[in-house]
Amino acid sequence: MLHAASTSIDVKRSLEDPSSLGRLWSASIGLIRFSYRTLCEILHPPWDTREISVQLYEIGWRSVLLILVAGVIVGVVVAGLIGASLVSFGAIDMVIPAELSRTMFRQIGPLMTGLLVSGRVGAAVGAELAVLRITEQIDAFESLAINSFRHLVTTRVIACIIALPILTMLMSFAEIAGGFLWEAAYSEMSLRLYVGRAFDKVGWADYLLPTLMTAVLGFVIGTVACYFGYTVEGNAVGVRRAAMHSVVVSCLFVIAFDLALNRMMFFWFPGGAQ
Amino acid sequence: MNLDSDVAIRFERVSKSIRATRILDDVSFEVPQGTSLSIVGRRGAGKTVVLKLTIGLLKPDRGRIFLNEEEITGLAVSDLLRVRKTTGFVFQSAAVFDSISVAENIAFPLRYNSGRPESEIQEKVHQHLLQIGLERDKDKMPCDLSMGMRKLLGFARALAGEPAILLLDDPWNGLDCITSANLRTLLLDLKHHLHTTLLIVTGHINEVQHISDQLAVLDGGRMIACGSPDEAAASGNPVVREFLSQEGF
Repeated sequence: MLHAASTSIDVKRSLEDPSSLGRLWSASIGLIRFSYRTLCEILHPPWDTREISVQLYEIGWRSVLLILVAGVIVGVVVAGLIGASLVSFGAIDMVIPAELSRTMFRQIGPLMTGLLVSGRVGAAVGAELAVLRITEQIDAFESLAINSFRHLVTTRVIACIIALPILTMLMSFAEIAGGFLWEAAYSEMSLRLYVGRAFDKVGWADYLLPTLMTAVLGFVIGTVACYFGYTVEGNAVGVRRAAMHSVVVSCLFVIAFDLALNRMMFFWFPGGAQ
Repeated sequence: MNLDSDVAIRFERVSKSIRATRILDDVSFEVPQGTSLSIVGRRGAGKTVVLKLTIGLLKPDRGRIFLNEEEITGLAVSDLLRVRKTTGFVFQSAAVFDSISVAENIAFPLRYNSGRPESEIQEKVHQHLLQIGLERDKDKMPCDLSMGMRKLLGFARALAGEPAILLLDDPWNGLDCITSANLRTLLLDLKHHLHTTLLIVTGHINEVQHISDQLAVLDGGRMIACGSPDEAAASGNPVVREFLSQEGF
């Protein structure tokens, strides 16, 4: 009884302690509220299409090179791993492209894109909004009767939602291209044969659903980055923390959401899991 | 909102704490339409908080705030945005948008709120640039301007929406004496010809003595004097007397 009472006091203390559990708790509640508000704002047009297109350029177009280069490298590495393990089990080289494309479209493409965009965009958006906050530019938006949340947060999150599926598609195709490089180097398979094998056993559910799923990851990345930037307090240290927390939390959420959405998707659409 | 009301800004027993520190304690004052109130006080006295409370950028812990007889204390975001269309805010740090050019900074609120055609917006931007003497710098980015020039840009941006109430946070900070004098003339012009209500906070009483219809002194979060400049000069409060004597008022 005494132990239970003291534990209760400890929990209460830690909740009141701004440096530990209490801060985590308030940040979690804040993030949930922020996400809810973001969702409500997204569902209420009109949107600031001009700012969305600017953010699409920043978040989407400027990530293309990173995605393509990373995709090719990941494709080479994964093709090597898959090839080695399949051959050791007695499979012939011909099944490697099919397995590679299914793995890329379903799992590695969405996850890698989510993580790369979390790193690049999460840090950039988190730091940018944090600087706008501490230099009073967000207050300036409000003082000019401009809804800063709609102008800064909603537009960036919508841009992430649109950009992620497109980037994921590019990533998946770049990975398959990387797989061809590996295959061509080791088995001298022709491009035509590789492409035929790669897409022979891939159905719509294999790449359409996982690719569309990344729109949810886009919402998660955009919302987390905007939350830490928009609500920052303090000075340069606050900016550093906002950028760091944006990346760390959005990466963790991307992994968790990717896992959960994959399970849900193949539960609802079992055909895609075969 | 009643734009014909006699009182533009009214604070009723407003208190505000930030992170367990009491910033404002039971502050009350009112500013009639078309007049000016200057709040002076030392650094950290809570002057900026008064301005941010006035347009709802901060919420008071206690008390009520009225703008043109409309209570803004519990307003929703959309209603606050409507109220803010009648106000302008000049920030101490200028707070100009650093990702767009000088001219775009002035055009930005006009594009968002005025619904005017682009040609009219460009004409208005040109007028404001001439008014503050930045017409040659219109294509520069704010980071290429000095602090004083950025302050002027922030001033022009606040004026772009033709506000009935103008809030100025230490507007002379970082300005040279000639630009300061020009700004004072501009503020007097706004007050006399456009009947703009001015709420100015500053640490230096000399800068506002010829502009202010009312003068208030804020110290330790409490308003220890509020009245005409003559009444402030006659105050028996030792802090007010010290403040006025230091400034040679």
